[in-house]
Amino acid sequence: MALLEVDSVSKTWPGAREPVLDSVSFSVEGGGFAVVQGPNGAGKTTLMRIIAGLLDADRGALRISGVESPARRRDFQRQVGMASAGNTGLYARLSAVKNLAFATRIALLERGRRQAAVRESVERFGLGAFAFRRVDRLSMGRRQRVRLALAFLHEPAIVLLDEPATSLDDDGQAVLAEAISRQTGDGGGVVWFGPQGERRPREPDLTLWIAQGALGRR
Amino acid sequence: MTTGIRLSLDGVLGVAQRDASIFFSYRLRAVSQALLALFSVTLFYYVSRLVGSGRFASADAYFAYVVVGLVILHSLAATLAVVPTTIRTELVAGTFERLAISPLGPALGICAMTLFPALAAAVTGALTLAFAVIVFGCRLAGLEAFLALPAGVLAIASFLPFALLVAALVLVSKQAGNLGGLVIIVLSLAGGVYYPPELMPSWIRWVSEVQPFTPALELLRHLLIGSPLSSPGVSAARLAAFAVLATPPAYAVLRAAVSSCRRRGTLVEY
Repeated sequence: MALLEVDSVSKTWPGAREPVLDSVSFSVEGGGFAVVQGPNGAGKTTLMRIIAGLLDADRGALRISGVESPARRRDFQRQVGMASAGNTGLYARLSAVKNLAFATRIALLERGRRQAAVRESVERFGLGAFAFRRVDRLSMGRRQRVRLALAFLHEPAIVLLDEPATSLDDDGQAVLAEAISRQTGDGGGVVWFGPQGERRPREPDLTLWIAQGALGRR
Repeated sequence: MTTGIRLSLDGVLGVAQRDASIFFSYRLRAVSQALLALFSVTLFYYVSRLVGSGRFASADAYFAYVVVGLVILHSLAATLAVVPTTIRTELVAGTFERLAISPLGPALGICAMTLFPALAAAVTGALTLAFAVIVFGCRLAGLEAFLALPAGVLAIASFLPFALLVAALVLVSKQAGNLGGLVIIVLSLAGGVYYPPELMPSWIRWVSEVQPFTPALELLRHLLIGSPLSSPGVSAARLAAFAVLATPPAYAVLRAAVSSCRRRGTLVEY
């Protein structure tokens, strides 16, 4: 059984004639690193949002480790981590550590695991020097590290990354590469969404090309 | 308690703790809240000096009447105005996305957003009362005044369905405050905050009968300042019934709004 199964997922925006995603199917095995590429507006972010649970598909099925969404949404969401494109999604008035601590609680981690998860994330993503500083006082690169830490924080089975290297310096890129290696090394999966030609930390196991709502392999 | 419920409660408390951390990150916010309470009490103290209506035995009686109205108004504003604004802020900041993809989920997350404002409103209400008593000599009823605490909790619980409905509307329409503000104004006009609802024309008096705000005011006035109330138990039962019966359908409407936004792709739009 594949770790992530995207099965014939279709989506048409209300009022649109053409579907933004037309029967898209692919799967990611445990330990797999997949890349979904395509031109701007091709539907990459829509596909990622559907997998993440922000958007419902009109048709098709989604499963992670056999858990189907939306039928078992809570169990499904436990297994997904996401870093969307851009630099939003952080509580500006809270420190990096408080952002992480809050995320552990809405991820419904057991009390005993929460502190360890935060501590480990701080270490893994090199947040130590600014962990207790308010997020709105951090540089874009440092904010991006916090955002990435949030995606991996609760040890999800699948991590979805939309243009995750944005604003990262060489050291930040190395941290991201290490996080991906560790995720796949532990049997999890990573799906990287981004435009063609984007620098990535390693060669993917699966490269998918999305254009005009359809998905092809490369 | 099952593990799922325990962890969900913990997530709900996490949201409240987050809201508290953000609130206190603005150093003057708590001070300004306290000053607002003091100024509103001061304003109505001097307005009450002008009151000579036969409806109230004295200017002090009217002042006490309004003070309790202000206490409840804080709670109503906390649930109907603060929560929609928080949702809008989260949508614009992109932080709602984090809640939306979390196992806690957006609907429960929104319910959790009512906790801290309700607590803050209770503190502001207590401060309002304290100022009225200490600075302006407002007299409270005897030991019955302590029953105002559980009655206040009941009152806030009875406002929760309104908060959930307004939150659902904010998710769908992406506009905050307008509806909540309107409901607050209507209830403060027709519900008995500043004057008895009996003074209103008969065609609008029905408003005071169909919502929990007016019974909450009557009950708290009875407990805090000894206003006559034929059956406090019935008022409390009305509040409890409203909370128990109206919250599940209001939560269902909120969930339906979330589902609709997920289908239309507007859940994290702003």
